[in-house]
Amino acid sequence: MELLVAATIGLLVAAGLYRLLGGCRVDLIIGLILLSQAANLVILASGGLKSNAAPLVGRGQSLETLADPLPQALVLTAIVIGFGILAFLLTLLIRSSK
Amino acid sequence: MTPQLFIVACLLLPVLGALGTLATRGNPLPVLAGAIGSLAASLALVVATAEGSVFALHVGNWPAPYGVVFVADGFAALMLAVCSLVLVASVIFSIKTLSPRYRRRHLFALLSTLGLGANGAFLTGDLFNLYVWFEVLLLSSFAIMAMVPGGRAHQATWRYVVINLVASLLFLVAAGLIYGKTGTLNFADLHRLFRATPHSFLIESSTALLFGAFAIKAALIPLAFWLPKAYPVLPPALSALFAALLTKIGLYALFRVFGMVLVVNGTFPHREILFWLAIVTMTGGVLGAVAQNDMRRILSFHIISQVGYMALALALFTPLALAGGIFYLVHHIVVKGNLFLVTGLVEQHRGSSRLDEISGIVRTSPLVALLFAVPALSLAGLPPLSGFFAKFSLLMASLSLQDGIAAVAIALVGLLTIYSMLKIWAAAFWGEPFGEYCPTKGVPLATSAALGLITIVLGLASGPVFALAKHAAAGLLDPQAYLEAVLGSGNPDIP
Repeated sequence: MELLVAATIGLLVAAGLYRLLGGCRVDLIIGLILLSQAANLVILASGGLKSNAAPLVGRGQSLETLADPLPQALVLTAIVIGFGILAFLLTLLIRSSK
Repeated sequence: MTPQLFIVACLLLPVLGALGTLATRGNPLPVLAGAIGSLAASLALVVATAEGSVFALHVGNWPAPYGVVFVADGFAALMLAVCSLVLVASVIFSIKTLSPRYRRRHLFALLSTLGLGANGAFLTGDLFNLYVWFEVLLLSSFAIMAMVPGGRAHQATWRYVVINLVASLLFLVAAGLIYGKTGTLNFADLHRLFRATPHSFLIESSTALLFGAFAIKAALIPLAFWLPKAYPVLPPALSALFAALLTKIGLYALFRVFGMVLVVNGTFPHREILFWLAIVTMTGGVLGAVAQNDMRRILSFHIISQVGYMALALALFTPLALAGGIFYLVHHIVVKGNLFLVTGLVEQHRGSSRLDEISGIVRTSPLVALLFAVPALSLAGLPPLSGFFAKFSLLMASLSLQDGIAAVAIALVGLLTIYSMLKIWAAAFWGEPFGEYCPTKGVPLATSAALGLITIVLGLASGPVFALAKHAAAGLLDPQAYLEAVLGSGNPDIP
């Protein structure tokens, strides 16, 4: 699982950088989206990857089977911010192509 | 009133100001009121933290390091106060000089959220929230940049947006990696961990990303070339705010994170790199300024050069150097903001800020010339103005370390700064006036005069202000009070 996530992050960064250096403004936006997805995956992976573990403590449940809730909260914030920025970038694109 | 209430005021008043402006269809008065209110609150915080005490606000009473925490120490309070001051000046100047077009596009609400982002970044006590406040600040600044009409401005906006987004992504990844390695993002908790385990060299790869992100935001050469492209296209009322706030918040983050959180055994990661980048930035910035031919562009390059000075103060990392660096930040924010405002006055007076199109302002408007002379001489570092004491303390710090390179760079760059200021003076202010000119308005003049007066006061009363900076620097070097305020004094984990 870790290997798969690591490889995906690498692929996203490579693809994002390639697009970012592509030269046209749509390329820039796509590149930034891909890079921000890579950043989100890094945060998600930073809490440790566990399968079948919810970030909730049940009664009598040991902490071993618990996923770290903080990276999930962070990633949600980062996704929301990323979405806001995407909306801004698209508006800017429309306005400067007029 | 407990100081925690002032922290809340600094964060709440800009929001209320922005909402009030949106509700009254762009009337700037609520924003101005909010900015003045947060200036008053931050001055109260300066007084409260003057003796080195630190106040923490645990939001929702969640204990740190689990909850969101805001911390006001001497350094944060000083930065809050000067940044709020420049925000007030910039809002007044914008009301009087900008066309109604900007008001229709909600400029004033965005100025308020820009100030909110800055206040939040100064007060926050954890790494991820610093990222979030940076985004608040950046999105406001993006939208303000995008308002400026013209093809060249659009080009500059794109450049500015993309480089800053890349920096934010570096920051985000660094925050994620640091969390993965340490399990915490709280500044006080991180510092406690690093102090307990001094050989954590694994952290350096993550802090390198953080260093890159802050270096882009602070505009250290070779990551600074977005700045002279972006700032000159803004109208002076707005570039004053950008010049005073944005790079300085990058520097604040460098001081806070590298100068306090990551300090282990009296040093921090990448200190050597920071030293050399600072030297290159100082010289490169001023050489760029000497080569320019427009007041806006010369001043933009000067920002880079001055950022180098402040980064050098951090890299030297002695109590005197840090205090000098913090004093430099305070001085620089006021002076740089004022220089851009004076550029605005010159443009109002003559319709241009290109050195080959204006001449003889001393004859046509001696007051504008005087208003330029005070911050310009202060920036160049002539006594008894504030810049002299800032540069002098850095020079003393480098001499006491017997660091010849730093001392020579400080003196030489100072000389070149004087040269480029003289270049503006000789071309724009001396000589025979030609072309048409119109009288400048009273309120913008008064705003700039007030900031000029503060520069003089900072110089004449440099003793008390430097004492504040010393306390702030001592708080960074020995953050025991910070740790106790955030983690609780009864916490057995504090060594």
